[in-house]
Amino acid sequence: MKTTPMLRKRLAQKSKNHGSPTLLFITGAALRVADVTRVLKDKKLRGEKGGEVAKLFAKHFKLSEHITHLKRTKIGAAVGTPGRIGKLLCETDALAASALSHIILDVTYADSKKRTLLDIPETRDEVFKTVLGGTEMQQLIKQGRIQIILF
Amino acid sequence: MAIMNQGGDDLEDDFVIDDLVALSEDDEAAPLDGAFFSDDGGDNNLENDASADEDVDTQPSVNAGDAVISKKRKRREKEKERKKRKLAQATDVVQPSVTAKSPEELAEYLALKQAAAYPKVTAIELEDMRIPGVP
Repeated sequence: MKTTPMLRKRLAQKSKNHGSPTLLFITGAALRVADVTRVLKDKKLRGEKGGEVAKLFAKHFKLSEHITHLKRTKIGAAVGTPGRIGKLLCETDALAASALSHIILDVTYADSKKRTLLDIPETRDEVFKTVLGGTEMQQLIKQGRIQIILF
Repeated sequence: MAIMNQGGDDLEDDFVIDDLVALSEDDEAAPLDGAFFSDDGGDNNLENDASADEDVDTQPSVNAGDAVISKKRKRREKEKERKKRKLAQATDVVQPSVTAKSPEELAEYLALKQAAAYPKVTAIELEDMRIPGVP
């Protein structure tokens, strides 16, 4: 967070629209999502005004449940697996990139076979094809409005 | 009394077992009559002696079996230890994190991974999709 002061500032601000986070945290495992969410939910980071932190992974949650949750919640950060986040970005209008400023790719976490998010073919394809591959996302990245961070 | 003390292995060298005698009605009938289970009687004692001898004879073979099993167990344990050591060695080698690289190297790393995600896309198209590094 020290290296990205802008992100810290934005996380502490109130989000304007429903389902439009300033941060997308992409990680490879649902358990990791839960851990990261716990860290991001800390009041020291969000302050009093900061938006909610959404957990977006397919295990135990239906896509429709996530859509209804995102449509009625002002979120500051969304943490999830590339599969579910990609689906929400491409196939629904529940998750918007309008306020997005940072995408963190969790390349530190490795599974039991020592493979990271970008080592596993399935998750790698989802990251580049659905999360980062959309036309709007590509434009925003090239314009420099969204920063990709390797964590 | 001489018979009483004689075991199954104490037969004379020139003794030939008569099949007819061995399968005689008397021997077969003995268990049916209940004499086999009775407390008294020479036959029972003979049987007891014979079974005692059998126990003695079978013990070495059991011990040999145990030895083989214990050897196998030791071998397995050694193999397990070897595997554990290998795993420990593998984990000891800490690979430097990707995140420790410079922004240019990270952009190159991302481009490589992106190319792996799009194997059929041409180099020009990949260059168009490439995530730029920090300016």
